[in-house]
Amino acid sequence: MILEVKDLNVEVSGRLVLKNVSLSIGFGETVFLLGPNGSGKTSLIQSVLGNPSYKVLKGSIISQGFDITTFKPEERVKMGIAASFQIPPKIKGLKASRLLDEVSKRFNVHESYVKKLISNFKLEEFMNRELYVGFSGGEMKRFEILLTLLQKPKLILLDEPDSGVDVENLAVIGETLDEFLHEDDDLLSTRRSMLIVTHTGALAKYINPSRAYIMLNGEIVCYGKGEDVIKRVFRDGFEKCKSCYEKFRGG
Amino acid sequence: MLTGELRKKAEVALSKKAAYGIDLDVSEYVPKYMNLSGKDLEALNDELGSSMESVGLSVDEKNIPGSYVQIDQTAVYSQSLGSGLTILNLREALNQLDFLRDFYWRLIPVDVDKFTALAALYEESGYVVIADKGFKSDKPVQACLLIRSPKSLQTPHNIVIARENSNLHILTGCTTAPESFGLHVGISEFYVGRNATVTFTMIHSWSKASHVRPRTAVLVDEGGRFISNYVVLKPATSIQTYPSIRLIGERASAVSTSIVLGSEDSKIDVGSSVSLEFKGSNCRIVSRIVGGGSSETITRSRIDALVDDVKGHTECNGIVVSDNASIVAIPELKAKAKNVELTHEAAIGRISEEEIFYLQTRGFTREEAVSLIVGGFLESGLSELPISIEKYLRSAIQWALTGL
Repeated sequence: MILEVKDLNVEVSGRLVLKNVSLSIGFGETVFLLGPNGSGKTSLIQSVLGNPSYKVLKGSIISQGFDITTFKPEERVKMGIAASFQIPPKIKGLKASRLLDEVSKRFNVHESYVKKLISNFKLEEFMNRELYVGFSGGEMKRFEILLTLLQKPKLILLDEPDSGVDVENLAVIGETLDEFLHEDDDLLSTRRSMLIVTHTGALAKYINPSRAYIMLNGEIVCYGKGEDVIKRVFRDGFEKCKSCYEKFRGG
Repeated sequence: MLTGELRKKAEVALSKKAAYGIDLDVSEYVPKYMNLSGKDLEALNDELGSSMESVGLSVDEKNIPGSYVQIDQTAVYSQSLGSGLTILNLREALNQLDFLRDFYWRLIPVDVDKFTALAALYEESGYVVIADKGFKSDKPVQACLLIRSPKSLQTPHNIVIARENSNLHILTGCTTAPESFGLHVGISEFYVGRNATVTFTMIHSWSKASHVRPRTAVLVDEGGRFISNYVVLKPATSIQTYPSIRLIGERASAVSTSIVLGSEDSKIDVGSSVSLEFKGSNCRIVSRIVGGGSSETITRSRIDALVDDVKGHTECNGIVVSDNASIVAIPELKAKAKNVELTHEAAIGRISEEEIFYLQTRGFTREEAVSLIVGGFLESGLSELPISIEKYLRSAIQWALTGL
């Protein structure tokens, strides 16, 4: 497994944000994590990344056979885990181009590939700006995904990549991610995997998830074949998931 | 060189404490002179070369309009390589140019404090740069001031005159030879003529035991523009400087920036004051201070609006990266007319943990993440520099941050 989250309980500032969460992603697999705003999806991503504000009380996070629960964030990156943040911090003074150069150097990315991605995501004019200062929501998403792809990850964690993005740019993001997923996939263990956190499911048009999980109030309440779960959620809403889960638990 | 009256005034002021900065027993420092004459920078030894390169100066003089080099108290080289530009050492200039007396000790009285007095009494060298009317170069005149002998007193007196419509860049690198230290008191008088622009970049890279007291004053005429970037990236025992800029003509403008990386136990007191004396004049005073080690940094700024229709803004931003460091921001605004616009902003804080974590998820260690954030913060203060200087300063900042 590229990622196995086992019985994870996490608190932030004394508040329990993840309750007994278990989830797995295989090599080459794309998984959706669906849930309404505030359900704990971002908390799960931040916990997998090793954000020190998210304190693991119980459970473990395993990647490629290693228990990475106590790994530093940069050590998790070395394991091939990279994320696109829902709302990355604005870093005044740090030029977008500078960070891009540093990341490209670090991950030994060929200049032509960097240029291609910048052009695909139409980000040329943002290079001289301070990181995320004055970026619109969509521009921020595109730059986040660009940086994430430069890290050549084995596992991509995408936190709401489709929110605030217009239809045209959603297509660019979807197609670029799909292309990235299917490069170098001759060996099972080198196949790229992805966890897409979303409450709109808009990327499902471009990327077909093998499985989807539903999260409510910090708990995984349902999972199943990607296509089926997405169809049901967008037909019946998350409220239905809630009543279904309560019924199941009560029974 | 000093006339009798000035000498008398200086002698009286020798015990006068400076308004700011720690007091010093100046008698510990002695002027040292070298028996060295250079015809070409390339002929100077490796030691000087590496000192120059350490403050961003070019040894081979490629693509620059001219250079000045001073070791301890001795001017070893001054050369203009372009037409419309004069570069001389002070002694030569006073002998050759009669009019220079009108610009000599005019903006800075010799008796401001013990340091100006010391500089006046031991005056020997310094650069005189004169850009003729219409002279333009996007490459900088470079000046290197090196303290080579231990306990050396270095007192260069620099005079810069930018005539009407000229455009002049000056890059001054001040440094000490390895294992050496001293007291540097640089006197700099700038005269920016009508519609002329002077960009002055000063990089201070002293050894730990050095004390530094530059005294700078600037006069900007109608439509003139003065841009100063003062950069301190290495520790010195103490630095105190507070240039004063007077904007005396319509639309005259100034931007004065201090970029300081406080480290070890340095005591640094920097900033500048601007006096807006003619309608339409405007200024900006900027500081970007990083407090590391057990450094203590004070950043001052003062804007005096003396007439209507003037604008001034000051911004002091600081990041404290060590529990033992301190930063104090002292902004002052004074309006003596009704229709003026004076503003200031100040923010001092720690680096956000959220920003550090974010960069760690991009593969950087905590230390590397801090360097990237702090480097970007310092670089964001740099103003209107030629690409070559900006590029050098960016890499110098990154280099200085290694191991912060």
